[in-house]
Amino acid sequence: MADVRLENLAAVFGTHRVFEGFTLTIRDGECFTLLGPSGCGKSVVMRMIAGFEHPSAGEVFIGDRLVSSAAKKVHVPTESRNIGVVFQDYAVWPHKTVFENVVYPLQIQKVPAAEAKARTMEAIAQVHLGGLEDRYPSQLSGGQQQRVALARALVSKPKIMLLDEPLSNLDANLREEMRFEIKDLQRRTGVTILYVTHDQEVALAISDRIGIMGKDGSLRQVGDPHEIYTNPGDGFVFNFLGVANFIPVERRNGAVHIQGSDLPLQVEISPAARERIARGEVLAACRPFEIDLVREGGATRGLVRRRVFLGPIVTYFITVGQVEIRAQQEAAEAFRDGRALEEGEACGLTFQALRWYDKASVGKEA
Amino acid sequence: MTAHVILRNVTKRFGSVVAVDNLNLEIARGECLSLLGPSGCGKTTTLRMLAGFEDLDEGEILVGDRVISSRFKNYYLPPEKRDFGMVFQAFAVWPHLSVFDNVAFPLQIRGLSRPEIREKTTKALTYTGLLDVRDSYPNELSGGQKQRIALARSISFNPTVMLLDEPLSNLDPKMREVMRFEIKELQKRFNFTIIYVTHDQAEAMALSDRIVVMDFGALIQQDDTPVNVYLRPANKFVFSFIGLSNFLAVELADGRIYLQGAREAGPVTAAVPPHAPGKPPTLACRPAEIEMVPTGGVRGVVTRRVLLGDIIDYRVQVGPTEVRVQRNVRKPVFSEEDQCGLVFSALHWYDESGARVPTP
Amino acid sequence: MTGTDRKFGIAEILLLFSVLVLVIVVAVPILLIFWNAVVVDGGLNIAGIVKVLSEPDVFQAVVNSLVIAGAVTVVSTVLGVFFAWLVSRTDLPFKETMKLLFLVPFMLPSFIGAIAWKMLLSPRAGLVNKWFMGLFGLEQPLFNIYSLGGIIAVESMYLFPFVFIQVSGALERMDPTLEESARISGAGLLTITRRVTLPLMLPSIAAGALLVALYSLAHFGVPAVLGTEAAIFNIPTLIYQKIYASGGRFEAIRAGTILSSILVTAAALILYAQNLILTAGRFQVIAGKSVRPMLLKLRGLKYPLLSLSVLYIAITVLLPTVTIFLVALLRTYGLSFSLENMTLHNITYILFTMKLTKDAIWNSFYLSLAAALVTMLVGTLISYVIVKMRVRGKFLLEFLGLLPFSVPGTVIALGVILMWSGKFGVNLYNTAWIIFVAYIARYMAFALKSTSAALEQVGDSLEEAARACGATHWQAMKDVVLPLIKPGMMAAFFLIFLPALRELTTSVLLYGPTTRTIGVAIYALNEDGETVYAAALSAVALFIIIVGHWVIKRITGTTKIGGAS
Repeated sequence: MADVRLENLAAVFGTHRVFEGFTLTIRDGECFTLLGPSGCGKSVVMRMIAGFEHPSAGEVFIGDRLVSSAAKKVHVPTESRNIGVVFQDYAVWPHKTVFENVVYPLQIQKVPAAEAKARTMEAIAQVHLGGLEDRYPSQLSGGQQQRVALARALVSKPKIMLLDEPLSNLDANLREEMRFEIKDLQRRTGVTILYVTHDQEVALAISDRIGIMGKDGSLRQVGDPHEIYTNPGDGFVFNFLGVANFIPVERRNGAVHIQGSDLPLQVEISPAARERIARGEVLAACRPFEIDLVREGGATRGLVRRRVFLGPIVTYFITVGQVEIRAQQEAAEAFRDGRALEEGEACGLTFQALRWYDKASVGKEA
Repeated sequence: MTAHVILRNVTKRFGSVVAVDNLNLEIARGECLSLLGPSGCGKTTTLRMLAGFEDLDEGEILVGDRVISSRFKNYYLPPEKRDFGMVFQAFAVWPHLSVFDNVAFPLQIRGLSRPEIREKTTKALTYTGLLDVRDSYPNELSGGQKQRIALARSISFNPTVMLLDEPLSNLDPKMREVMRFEIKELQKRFNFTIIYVTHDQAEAMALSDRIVVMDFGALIQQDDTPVNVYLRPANKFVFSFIGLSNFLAVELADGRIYLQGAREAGPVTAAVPPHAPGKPPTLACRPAEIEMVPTGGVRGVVTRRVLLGDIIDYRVQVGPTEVRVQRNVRKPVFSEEDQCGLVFSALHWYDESGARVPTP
Repeated sequence: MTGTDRKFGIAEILLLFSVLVLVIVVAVPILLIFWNAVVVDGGLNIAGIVKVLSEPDVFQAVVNSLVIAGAVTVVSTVLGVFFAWLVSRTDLPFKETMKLLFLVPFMLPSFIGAIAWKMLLSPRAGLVNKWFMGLFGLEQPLFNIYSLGGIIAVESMYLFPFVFIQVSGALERMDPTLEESARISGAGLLTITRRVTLPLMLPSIAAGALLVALYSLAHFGVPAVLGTEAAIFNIPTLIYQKIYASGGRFEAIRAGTILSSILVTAAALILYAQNLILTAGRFQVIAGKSVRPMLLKLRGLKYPLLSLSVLYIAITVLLPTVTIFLVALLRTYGLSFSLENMTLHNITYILFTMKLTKDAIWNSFYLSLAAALVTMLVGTLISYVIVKMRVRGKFLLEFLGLLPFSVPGTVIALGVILMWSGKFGVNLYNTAWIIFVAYIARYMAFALKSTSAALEQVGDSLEEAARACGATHWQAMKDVVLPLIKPGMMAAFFLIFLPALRELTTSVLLYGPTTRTIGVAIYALNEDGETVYAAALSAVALFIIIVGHWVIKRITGTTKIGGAS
């Protein structure tokens, strides 16, 4: 098991600049997710660690070993890096059986046949594919093929495992199941995992730490899931991790109002934040569930423009001043207690928590 | 209600398989009705019979006062004469025609004059936000825009009935939300009746005035508003199809209900539902409707905790039973291996045939 | 996407090798043609070109080529679209059988068909004509096959499957909701066909039609068998006639190269047009789910149309084939078809005794096998460089590889003559080697297409997964890539072997006294009036082809298409 150190990594291909100055350490034995929108370069980072791509600048260390350096002209080829890789399209070889797929790394390493067989069967059992070792991939479902890929990546006991969006081709139920299996496997074997994805749900669910990449290839925030979710560093991260309200505000008579609303916002605002509000640099941000809704009273008043019932929650689109805010209630309670609001009804909103983010950091899309 | 679309004893067979079994349904004018069910349950076949792409084996279909398909009277109106709008899952916009020509097509078929065609097409394009791209070709546009073309094409001739066959499944989640809203807006503006087929319950709930939950054979399990279907599912099938569920086996002891094999954990409730002796019904409850408390309640141990964003998903082990609980991230968090107590507020009971047992 | 900062290595060597092979085998012969056509005694001679082109026989041949190609294209398109629509979009019974039968003409060499039709419809001795004249006591035959009409008819019979395959495939794969949405919009069947189906089919129809035009322009066999009698020449037959009549004199070769240049230019234009149509009309019409398309109920027309189709197949496929086999069994040509006049002697004679035919069979076999093997292997290598290697300059390979597609067999033969007849110090003329080289040039494009398609199916991640498991680049190739492209390579092999075995166009210009191929032997026997032996060898050839296709189907599990010779 090993850690992975990326120092000042750059990917510049001709005029196409994917990222520069990318520095990150993935700790030994942790499950680290690189999370970002499509095209941000997260797959390129993974491929550089794997050795499929050469960095245009910077260095890659696996354990203590320098495996890639543009300046020092070092490039340890993929096959010598002792890694396991799981691809988005599984990359299970259709002309080999499950057993033959999984035993391959051991054959390459010239492990004696008896030992190879034992370790292979163990790996196959670990991914719950026992009994299917003589099947061909075409006879397996998507989820089963993915498990073959997992077993194959693990059987040679690699130092690190790289997973590139391995679950995106599976349906929702299977995704949930496989998420758990991957996490479980990692706990049992202690292998260091780098997971690359654009799906924030998976990232939050399985990671020890998450690194969020912006569309420009920069590393915006690194931390554990709960921490990042409850304290996003900037508007981009806030927006990427879940549904977000970005509320423009204005100052009126020394108080802070939602733009166009007559009632002042009744929340604690620090002096530093007040200054930035005055300079017009920031937006207020909160999640739909951080707003309490009432019929009478409330800190601010608004009008329910639209109501969407989705099952466990009811989502409201409420107009406050010139701004549309998204809020929600737990459906069962709301309907039973008669607290559910109708479209066109006036209501009161109380903000549990408000964050302040630079306007610039709130990109048009995550 | 004055029914606008009526299906009476409609049956359709493919060989020995009964795809639609004696379906009776009435839909009011201006209503948005969803046919919701698993793949292969017969909802798409029902829609295709409404459209006329399949003919029924028995029964009849009426729209307004007009019979459009009838086995009794041996009458079958082909699709091109039914004057319905239809939107397909794969959009079905013609790649060799511009957006404008796509939308104008039904008007041209109906022989309207050039100025009239232009006027109605422009109107449809405006309402779907496609006016700027009217001279573009479909392959230059995104999935959401292609679906808008299909919508515009269907509303251009102002139909009274719109048939939608899983129209949003090929779109990404953000686009789906946007399009749901746009479809609803269009319905409000034009007041057509919508019959919507989907397997996605969230979509059905968000859009419909009424949901018809179907099982195989197009057998109706429940026909009600989204709120009622969610809060009071008629049977086990509906309960599990709509939203997440826990189905828990229980046992009865000294007048109280306990989770099976977990009497020492504490009672779930004292309100015992009626049942045959020795055969207590199954307890069904939603993960979002179970409260977790540090002390009291039905005692258990947290075996798994997963952060899903604004929700934390827990698995709590109570004796031999695993209960799934979902809580908003704002609420106090429990760690794995923590002790906790479960408080069940909304209990649903279903007997062994799956039928709903009234809550005491 | 990414560049590598690898230094000069294996990839570059392979690229160089591939370019060299393609240049020598493919590019130079073609360049020599153009060079020879345009340059005389070291100087540009345009006036000479004009002079040659204005000679009446040359001019007429060009006109004939265009007329024949044009007419054949039109007829094939009409036939192809009609039958494709019938088979894919109506409730015609026995559809699967019909589909297979419509594809049979593909398998059979059209010049053998021409010989059969000659036996049936030659003005005086043709069996059908004789029967017709006898029945009605007329002096005039029903139809004189030695005519432009005859050539057009026979070529159309054998080329329409090009259009049929494209259109029926497209019709079956088309997303049915495209037509359903038209229906629910109010359009009846005719309107739908006119405004939706046909426009969306246009790219496929065009693809098939242009392919037909290409083949017809380049075709030697049918005009040779049916046209020479009536002094109707197209470009390939005129080239042949001039070179053989003159015994290889300079002026004849020059005329040949000028005509060839016209051919190549016309072919290139056709391919360019096809490319334009395909890219302009690359509509995503293929259905994701497999749903049954809308079928038209034929009702009263069902059995008449079925009969029509069966009749068509009987006349165009069964009749000539049966004729060949029957004539092959006749003791002497002209005898009636009674059991006492039948013998197996012809067949045993050509197989075991006659030197001409024995040599021809042997030559064809080993030449086709060798050419197929070499082309497949080299083609695989070149495809690998094009598809899988990131190395600058591979667009050159793509371009060179596709060249021969547009170059007719006659032109390749001529080019190969120019290149390998002593010019660069190597003289292969009249040896088997020259035919071998010509085959490689002719069929390289097929090998490249087939193997690159197979390579593209092998996703990059499959190789990368092997590397991640510890395999070196070469191990990954051996363990993962090679096994997965084996079917593609086999397909390439058969795609070359069978057409090469039965072809005529190329070897007719290159054969020497000991290097006749099957095609040449059949043609020669026919020209010399040895009709029964020609028929016997044709029957044997047909037999080999049918068995060959059956073997391929067993091995690869797909139906292989031969294409015209």
